[in-house]
Amino acid sequence: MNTHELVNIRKRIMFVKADDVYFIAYNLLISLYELKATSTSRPFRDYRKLSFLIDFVADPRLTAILQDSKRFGIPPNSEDRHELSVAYSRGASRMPHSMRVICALESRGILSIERGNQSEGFDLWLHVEKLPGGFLADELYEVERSNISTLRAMWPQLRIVRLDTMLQNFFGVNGVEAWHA
Amino acid sequence: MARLIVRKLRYRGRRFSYESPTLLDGINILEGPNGTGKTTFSELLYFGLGGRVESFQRNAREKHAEITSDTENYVELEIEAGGNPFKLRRFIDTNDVGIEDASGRVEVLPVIRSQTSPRTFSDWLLERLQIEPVTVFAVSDYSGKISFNDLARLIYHDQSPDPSGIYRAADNTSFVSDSKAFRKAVFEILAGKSFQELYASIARLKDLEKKRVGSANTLETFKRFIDDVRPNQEDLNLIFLERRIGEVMQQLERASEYRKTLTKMPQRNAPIDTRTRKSELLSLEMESTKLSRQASDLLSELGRLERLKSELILEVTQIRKMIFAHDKLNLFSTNTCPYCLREVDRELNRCVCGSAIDESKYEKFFYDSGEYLTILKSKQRNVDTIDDAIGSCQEEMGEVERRHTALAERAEAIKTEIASLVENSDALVDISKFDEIDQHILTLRGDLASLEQQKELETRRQELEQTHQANEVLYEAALAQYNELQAKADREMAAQRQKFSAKYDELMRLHVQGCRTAGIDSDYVPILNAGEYREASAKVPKRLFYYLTLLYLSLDDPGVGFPRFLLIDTPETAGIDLANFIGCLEEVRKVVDSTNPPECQVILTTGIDKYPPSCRDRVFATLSKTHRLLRPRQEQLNLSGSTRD
Repeated sequence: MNTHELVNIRKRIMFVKADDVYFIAYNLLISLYELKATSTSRPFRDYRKLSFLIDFVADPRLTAILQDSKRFGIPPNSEDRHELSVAYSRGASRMPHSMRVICALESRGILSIERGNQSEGFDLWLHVEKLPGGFLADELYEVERSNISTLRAMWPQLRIVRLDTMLQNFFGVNGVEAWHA
Repeated sequence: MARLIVRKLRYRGRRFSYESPTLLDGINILEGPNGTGKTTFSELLYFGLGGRVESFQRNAREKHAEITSDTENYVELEIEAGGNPFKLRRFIDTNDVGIEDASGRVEVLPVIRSQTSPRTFSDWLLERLQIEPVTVFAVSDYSGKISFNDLARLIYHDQSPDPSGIYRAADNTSFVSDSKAFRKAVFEILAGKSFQELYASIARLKDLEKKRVGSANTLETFKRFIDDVRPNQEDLNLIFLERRIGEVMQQLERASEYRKTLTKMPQRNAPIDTRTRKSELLSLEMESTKLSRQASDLLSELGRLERLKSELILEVTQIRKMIFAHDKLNLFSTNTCPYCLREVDRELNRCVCGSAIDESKYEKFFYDSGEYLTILKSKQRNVDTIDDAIGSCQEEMGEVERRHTALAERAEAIKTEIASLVENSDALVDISKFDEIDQHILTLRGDLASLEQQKELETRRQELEQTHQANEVLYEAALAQYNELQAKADREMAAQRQKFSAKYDELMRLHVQGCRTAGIDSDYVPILNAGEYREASAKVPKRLFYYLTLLYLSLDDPGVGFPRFLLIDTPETAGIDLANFIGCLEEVRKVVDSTNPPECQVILTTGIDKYPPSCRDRVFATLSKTHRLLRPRQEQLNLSGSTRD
């Protein structure tokens, strides 16, 4: 096995999808776009919410758990609770990576960051025109668009609610303790 | 009939004694004035023959002074009865007679009958005299056995205090022994020949009548008992009962057989089959459970694999999306500054910071499209691997399900089979049939028990009927025999009465001047001149000739019962003159001497010379005031020879 093959194997082993910058990037961009945070007057409040939101946008099963729980008022089973708990942990641990991706996107002028008035985190909005044409509308991201639409339908204030409120809605009411301050 | 002869009389006491000379056949006379012991002689003789003499009793009102004052005194008689000699000894004031036969064998018999000693001296004596000690029914059911002492009322002619009576007073006066029936029986036995037989038949008849009435009453009581106990029972005789019992037993046998077949049919095989099948079913179910668990495990595994697959597919899709985003946005590369995140121009084998590096070992955070594709391919291979795993898992699952289905089908088949067996066994073993047959058997057993009981009662009833019938037959036979004997006895007695009356008439007319006709009526009571003659002078001959006529009959026909023995104690009483009295005694002599040698014995006590001259040589002892019958022992030793011996 040559050195190149060894490097490839190592990189493959070290690959963590959830923390991958492009994974974070496309989910984040689609979310902002679908939540219509596309101008300074409609910012997405508190970027930290995006770090937790990404898993739900990427995985329709997680969205379905929230949807079922909210629709029937029945707390999720232990397996689903476990899934939610893992999603919460991933959201929390993804936070620095998310910030890096946001910064990279800002440096390319794709979104703007602004210290919010009401929240501890930054507010941000998307510059759709800075994105390559057809990127956000590509059918490849159909699932993600559908998921964020579903979440928005459930919580129309998702764009502007506080991080605590969203965490309570996503995890707390479903039996997963959200300890994030 | 057999004769009674007294050969000798002895009296022995500590103070007095007497011994007669040998007494002969024919007339034996003891003469003496009044008060010298003539009556004592007769009484001693009678006492010796088992008779009751009141004056010999020490507690009597008018007791015999010498005898009751004497001690260890007894009477001893030497007699001949039925041709055999015996010596009889009876102590004064006792009721036992010792009998010694010629061989010296001694038997002691009581005078009085009791439960402990049913055989008496009288029975023995009558046996010797060939007279049956028959039972005579006096009044209703009251009866008594004739004894020698009863017969002696016409054998022992005592000094009657009432000479008008013919019979000597009974030893023990009772309404039985003194009844007319008893008196008639005494006469008939002594004067007749078939009367003993007749009286025996009467006794038997009475006995049988008692049995007949008894068995009739028992039968009647038993019938009433049966009617009371089983009022609605069908009246069946033993034959019908046994037939009915046989039928019920057959029914019972058939019912038992049927029950046996019911018991055998279903129970021999069914439980074994069910057990085998149940056991098979159990192992199938255990196998099925194992398979279910395996299927469940496989399902879980399949679930996990499916989830893994879908996660992988999702990841693969997301990597594609990431490649697309990378291609479109190109946000990060190995030339991106980690601080400002801007693209820099970097030399080959140099880091962004300018340090020399091995490009192949250059650690970077970012992947290029090629690397993403490699990861994608790797993930896709993983998906293929999982697909393989899912495939084999599904295959295994299919196998498990197939086996499970087969097991379920087999189990179902066994269940159906068991259900069918159970259903069939239910059809075969109909419990209600058991109930029916058990009830039937129970009823039959009840019937049988009832019939057996009825049979037992019927058997008893039949026995009673048979006993009663036998008693009836015996009674009828005895009655016929009695009637026959009665007729015969009546005929014979009529002849005897005629004979008796003829002789009696002859004697009476010869010695009673006013007597024109004399005879006896149907009760054997003397009738003089058709009952009109009642002169006192007739009393002595009337009684004496009555006894004498009986003796005459026995001499004329030895078949009659009279034992041809007369004991006459001083018959002269007031109202008869000496000549007539002697004439009467002459008649006695004539009768006695009618056979030669004489075939009878008469012992007569009388006053000095108060007997016919022809009888002078028949005097065996003469008593006087100085020569009394009982003499003190010392005196007797000194005096001897005044007797015939």
